Amino acid sequence: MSASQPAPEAAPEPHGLGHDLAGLARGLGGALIFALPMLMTMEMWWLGFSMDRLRLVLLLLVNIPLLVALSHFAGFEKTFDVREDLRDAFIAYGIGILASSIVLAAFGAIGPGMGADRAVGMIALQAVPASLGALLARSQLGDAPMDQPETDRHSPYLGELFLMAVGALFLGLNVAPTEEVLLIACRMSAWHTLVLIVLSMLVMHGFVFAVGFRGGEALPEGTPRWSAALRFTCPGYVIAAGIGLYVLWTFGRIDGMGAAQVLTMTVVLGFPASVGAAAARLIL
Amino acid sequence: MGNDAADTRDRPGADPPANGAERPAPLEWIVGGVSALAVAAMAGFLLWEAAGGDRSPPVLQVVAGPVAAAGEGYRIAFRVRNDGEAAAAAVVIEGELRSGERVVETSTVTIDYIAGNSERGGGLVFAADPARHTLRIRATGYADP
Repeated sequence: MSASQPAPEAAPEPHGLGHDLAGLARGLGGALIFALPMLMTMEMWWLGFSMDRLRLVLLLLVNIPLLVALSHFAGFEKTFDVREDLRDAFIAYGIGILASSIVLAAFGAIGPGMGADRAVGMIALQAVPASLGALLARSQLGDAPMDQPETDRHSPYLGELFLMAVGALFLGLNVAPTEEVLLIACRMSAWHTLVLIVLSMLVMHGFVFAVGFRGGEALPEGTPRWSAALRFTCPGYVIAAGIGLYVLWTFGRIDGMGAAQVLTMTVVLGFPASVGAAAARLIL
Repeated sequence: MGNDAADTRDRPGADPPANGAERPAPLEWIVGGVSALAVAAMAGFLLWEAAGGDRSPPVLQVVAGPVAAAGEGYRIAFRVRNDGEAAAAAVVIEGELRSGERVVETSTVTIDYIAGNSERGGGLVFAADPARHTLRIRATGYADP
């Protein structure tokens, strides 16, 4: 916030090939940071060509409003209209597809001699986390000055819920392909599951309100603790668990499962998803 | 609870999907209340389940599906149902083709996990045509997860 910095309004989109290329490279970098764990998971490759095609398409569509919301609330190039948010979202999607294609090809996971449907499915699935990373990198790791105090960078209530969904989806996608979700769920009793629900909510609440991470929130004076828990932590956990359930369904992990088992798996995946949701609230 | 008065300064032209800058607090209470109910429902279901005591052990039932020619052999799809409440791991499914008392061919497959009250599918491959023999498919064993 030194005097030499231009006022925020005086920093419109600078244009020029160099700037665009730098932004693109930043997006590629972000896509790699966020998607590499998944790009190097063979279950994700298998899911790319074995998962239900309609569910894959639905995931690709669901990703679009999430990217738009992310662009809207997290973008440093302050975008004020839907058109610009849509544009940024699709640029990020494109970068995600590009990054996924390059890395999968470099690993020999896709290549000539492989059916196009398999390759397309694998790239499409990986493009979802990669695009989230690309958008975050373009917004968060950009060269824009941190021209606003942290306290100004809050989103409205529904926006916060949206951001939590993005964070939950991201960590959920990381964990859901692994066999361990089912294994852990099979080992847990109903008591374990109950404790994990409580633990998830405590972690969420702690991340955002209690432990004082940068970007965390101090409760306004006079706000009772249960109030924030009811208005933020409860919805946050329900969103995280809901996203967990959605990802499990998308990957066909709960097909043929009984209700008790589905609930346990949802809570198991809901744990990393709620950490992701809480982290998204902090970071964005 | 005005979530943040700063939003109005921050984003003058927020777009419809997420325009909550000046949302009244009641929305937060409604969303919070509904979510609390959902969490309570989850906990209630689990408590009800926990009150039921120990889970009943796995009860595995195999149902054979149609036979189809597959490469040089024949494939039989099957579904295994676990009607117990506890999960079964490393479930071995064995299929036998018999001609009278004589076992013509056996084929096995292992399924990693079958959760309680859940089902999984798989396939067995035989060289001989199952249609010419008597087929028996059953689960021969499992491990606790």
